[in-house]
Amino acid sequence: MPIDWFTLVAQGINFLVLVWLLKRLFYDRIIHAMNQREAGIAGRLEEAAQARRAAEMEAAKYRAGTQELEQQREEMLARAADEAEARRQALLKDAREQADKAQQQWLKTLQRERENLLQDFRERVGQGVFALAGQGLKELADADLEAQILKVFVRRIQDLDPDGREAIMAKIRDSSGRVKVSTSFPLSRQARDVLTGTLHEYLGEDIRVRFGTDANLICGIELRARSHCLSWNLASWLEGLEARVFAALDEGTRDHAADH
Amino acid sequence: MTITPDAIVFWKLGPFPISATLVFTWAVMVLLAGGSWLVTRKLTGGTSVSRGQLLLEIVLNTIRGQIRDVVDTDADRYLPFIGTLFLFILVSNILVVVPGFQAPTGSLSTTTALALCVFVAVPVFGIMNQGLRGYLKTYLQPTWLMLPFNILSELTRTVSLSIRLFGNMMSGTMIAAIALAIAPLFFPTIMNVLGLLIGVIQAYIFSVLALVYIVSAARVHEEQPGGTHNDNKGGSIRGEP
Repeated sequence: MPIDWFTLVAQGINFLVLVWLLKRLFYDRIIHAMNQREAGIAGRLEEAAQARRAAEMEAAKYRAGTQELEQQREEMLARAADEAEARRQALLKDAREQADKAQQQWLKTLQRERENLLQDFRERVGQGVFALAGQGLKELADADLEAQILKVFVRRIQDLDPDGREAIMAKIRDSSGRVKVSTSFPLSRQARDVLTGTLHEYLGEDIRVRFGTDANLICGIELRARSHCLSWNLASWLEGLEARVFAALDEGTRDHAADH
Repeated sequence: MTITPDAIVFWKLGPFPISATLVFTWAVMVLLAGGSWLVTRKLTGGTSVSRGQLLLEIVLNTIRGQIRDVVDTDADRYLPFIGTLFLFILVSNILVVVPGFQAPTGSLSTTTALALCVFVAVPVFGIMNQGLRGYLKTYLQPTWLMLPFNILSELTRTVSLSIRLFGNMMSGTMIAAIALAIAPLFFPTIMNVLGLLIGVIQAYIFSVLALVYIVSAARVHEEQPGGTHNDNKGGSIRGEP
């Protein structure tokens, strides 16, 4: 088998040339392109990893924000509950105060009405007693009540003990001998004369008597010289009655308040 | 019957005959280089890749993978030489199916030239890897008494490589010619298919053997200092021829 030496050398050169050509045109270029692509893919993977890290950070931030919002919400709710409770207490206190005030007002009104009622009652009782007594005396003793009252008053002047009489006379002297006789009813001329005579007889001749009426006396007669006063009327009796009625009313009011 | 394309001389350039071997070698070179140029003039590094580029990338990655199976590191250093060897032999052998084409690998001159290239490449890569002194030392391993045997090993390896490829290519042609004489109708077709298979296998074997020789020469040095580098592949193939 002959070997053509020229062909052998030429083939060797051909092969080396082909190696050079393919290195230039094939291997280097393709390897470069593949490396470029791999670098691109690696870059994109790195970008994706970075984006993922950024997303995770965002997510963590968002979670922290949500947690903070939740915390704030809970704090606000707690604060609102506290404020509502405080407001409720304030309203409750206010309502209590108003209720107390209304109760006081009501009690005052009640007190006033009671007093009015008692005043009216006292007047009516006084008038009723006066009318009853007057009617009774008229029918039983055959004399009118005014005359009896006058009679009693005259007797009281007559029955004055010396000290009491002297004290009255001193007062009368202090008032220049002027006395005022007040009655709850207008005195007749005769009665005035009797009374004036009695006063002249027992308390002094120089007394100047002035007569007048006073509805507050209810039923009775009063002699007044300056601050000294000698009287007989139903007022004291009515005052006792009034005290008893007031006590009964107070007891009724307390029971009423306790019920409420 | 023509056994070798060297015998077909198209014309003479002075004393030098331009045989079919050279012409078809140039044809293969033009095909490979031209095809590569056509595809690689508009390469993209992005994800959108043309079909031609994809084909070249697949071929390149396959060759790289084969080289990496033998070499653990720095496969790209051997890629141009081994890859070109493989592609040249493969394309030459495959183009046999083209009517009138004479495979350059069927010429003992070509296979010898390729084997000589490997013969030169082994020390070149060895010196590139470990320096001139380091490479020359490998001929004295394990002792200076082995120097003649090591030199003989290098020579016989080159001869074996060239004869192996030439024999396989020539045998295919021979069998086809004989079979054509015996059974002219169907048998040659089957032989053509077989010839293609043998051609691909031979391209693979030639390239891998060349790679193993080159790499084993480079690795001897690496094994020396520590003595711990355990590479059975390189060591066992070194004496294969």
